[in-house]
Amino acid sequence: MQNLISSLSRRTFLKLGAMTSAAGVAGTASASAAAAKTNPKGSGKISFWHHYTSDGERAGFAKVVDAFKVKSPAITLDITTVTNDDWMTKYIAATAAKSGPDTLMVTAARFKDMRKIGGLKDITAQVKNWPAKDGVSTTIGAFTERGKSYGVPWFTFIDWMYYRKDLFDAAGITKPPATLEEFRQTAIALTNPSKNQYGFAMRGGSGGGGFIPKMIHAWNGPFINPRTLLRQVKFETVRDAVSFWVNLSVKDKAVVPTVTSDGFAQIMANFQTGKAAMVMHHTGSFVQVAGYFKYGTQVETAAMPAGAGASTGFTSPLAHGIFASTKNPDAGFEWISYMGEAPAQVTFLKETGYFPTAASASEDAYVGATPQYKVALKAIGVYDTEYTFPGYTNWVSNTCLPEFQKALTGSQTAEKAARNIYDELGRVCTAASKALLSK
Amino acid sequence: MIALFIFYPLYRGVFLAFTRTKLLEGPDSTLNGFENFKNLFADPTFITALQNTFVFAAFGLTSQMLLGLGAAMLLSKERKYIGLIRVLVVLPWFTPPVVTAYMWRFMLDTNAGIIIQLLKDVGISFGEVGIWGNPHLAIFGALFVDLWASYPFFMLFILAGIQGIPKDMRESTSVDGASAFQHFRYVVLPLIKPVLIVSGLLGVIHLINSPTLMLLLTNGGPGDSTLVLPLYAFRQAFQGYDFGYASAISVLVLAAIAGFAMVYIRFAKFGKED
Repeated sequence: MQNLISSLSRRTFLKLGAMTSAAGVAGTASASAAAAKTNPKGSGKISFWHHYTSDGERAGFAKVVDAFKVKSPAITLDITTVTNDDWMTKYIAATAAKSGPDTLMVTAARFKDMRKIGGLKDITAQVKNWPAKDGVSTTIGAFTERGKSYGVPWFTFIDWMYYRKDLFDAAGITKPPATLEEFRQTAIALTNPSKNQYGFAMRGGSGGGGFIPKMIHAWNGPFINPRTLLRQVKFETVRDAVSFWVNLSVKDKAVVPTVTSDGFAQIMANFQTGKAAMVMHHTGSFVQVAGYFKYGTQVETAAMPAGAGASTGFTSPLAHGIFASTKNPDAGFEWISYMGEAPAQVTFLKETGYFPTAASASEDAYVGATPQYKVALKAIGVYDTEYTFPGYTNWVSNTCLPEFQKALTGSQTAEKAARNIYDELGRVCTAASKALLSK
Repeated sequence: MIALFIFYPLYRGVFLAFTRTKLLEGPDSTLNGFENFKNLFADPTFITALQNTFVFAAFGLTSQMLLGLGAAMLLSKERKYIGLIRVLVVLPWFTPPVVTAYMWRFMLDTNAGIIIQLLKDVGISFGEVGIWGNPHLAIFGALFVDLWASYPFFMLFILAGIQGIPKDMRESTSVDGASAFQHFRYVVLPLIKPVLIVSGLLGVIHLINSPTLMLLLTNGGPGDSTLVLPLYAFRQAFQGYDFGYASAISVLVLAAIAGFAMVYIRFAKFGKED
């Protein structure tokens, strides 16, 4: 019903309301109440920043944009790609100059930083009046601070693993690893350097720092106190987590040797060519992998292995927000709320694999007919949400990654890397906690 | 007006270096004296970046100037299609840094790089981890890419200098019995010295000030093995949101370049007759 209401234009909706009133049909009151809960319709030109770069993402997004043009012809979109590397640079410049885009993407991991820097508009009132808001009630919290909402969820990154079923079958391995120790043993068993085959395509280049908090989380469970933002993990736990991850490469030699320079493109290429039997990513690469493997016989998906404290996998929603200095918030909200509903999200899911945030989208027939998504659906209830606190992304990119790389290349021990990662986490958390308390 | 455009941003940059300006603490700046500079010299990552910057600038300047000089000497002779050849040789310099970085990143990739495969075929290997994964080789990979992209800059400067030398001077030195090397050493080199000094100075400024290539090729890794000062300043500003600290790095780079320029020009006796 909420979808039906949101898909009607305001004029049509009022006409229907008037007709029902005139006819004296029972339920007029509820229809009027629903009309009052609809946001004002927007018009004019609005700009939008995103960071899609792959062909699949662009194609999927183009379909969503085309459908929006049909639904809201009074709004013209001016869409700009800003790469992830440039994102915060441009966001900071736009915030300082008060001349950013009308609407933009907000990842959960960056949300606290973007919020602190300013530039995101409080959209609490619009969300409150948005008929489809209940559909994203479980994810909108990631973009809410002190009771104020700053983003409408679009999709969720759900970590999972791809494994080469053909290579598993050839090695006599019947099921994917469920725990990190099983993962290690499986990776070792699948490694055969003479055949140029390794158990795992580890990401140690661009984006590789993100696996360090996943490992610490898997060993410890939540390592930040969500209330105080203070660190709640012992050094020994961080040391064990970092050492395990580093030693998959350094001691077990179960990782593709180019690990320190392998980013997303390289790990997927290693997996595609059979150089690696397992790779960790998220559902966003599901369609890409289908481009070169057949699910069921050649490749399969599996949940991220569990550690002693929690699963290695995170869910991490991504939302769209409105820029603080926009002159067209109505059109902006119409655009971002359109993407917050099931039809747009399912369109994007089919083209990419990015998993919807709207509850009704998860019940879509396409999701049910794709058995690999069972892993993702199950993971939603098991995984914790990725961390977000001020300074988190900088810690991941500029402490975790270089320290991890130094341990991989033998420039320092895993223990020394863990020590630097642990100490810097302490500094970042203390600063974040101080800022929280000073408010 | 011109002074406003030139000096105000410079003033702001220097001013920020003496403040605590952390965007995560709010947009305001508070004066903190030399605190950022004191912290810099106690920061091991800054020291690593300083060393890497020195290596990158020294090797970069030497290699680019030598190759530029060699190419200019070769292309200074008039022959058929020389105009076209000169344009083709200059093409790398016209290529945007983003294209240059991605192109070479993949051509030198251990698994899929065509150049790495060709080198393997003739028995040259960079090991299992390759160039970009090796902390000792990655900076030289970046230097090679910058050599490819930047030597035409030196070549153009030097070629212009060589073409300014009267043609009959070579005939005169030949009559006097000078070899080609002696002509180069005692005639060409002194005459193009001002060009070498100016291009060298501009080259050093480019090498020290350009984080783009390193950002896209290695992002400072593996570890901090290719982290250079402008990239470190960029990280501090736009990933750590600490504009005070980032400005302090930039001010030191500015001071180092200005100091280098003064010493370099004085040492090279620029503008004085030999």
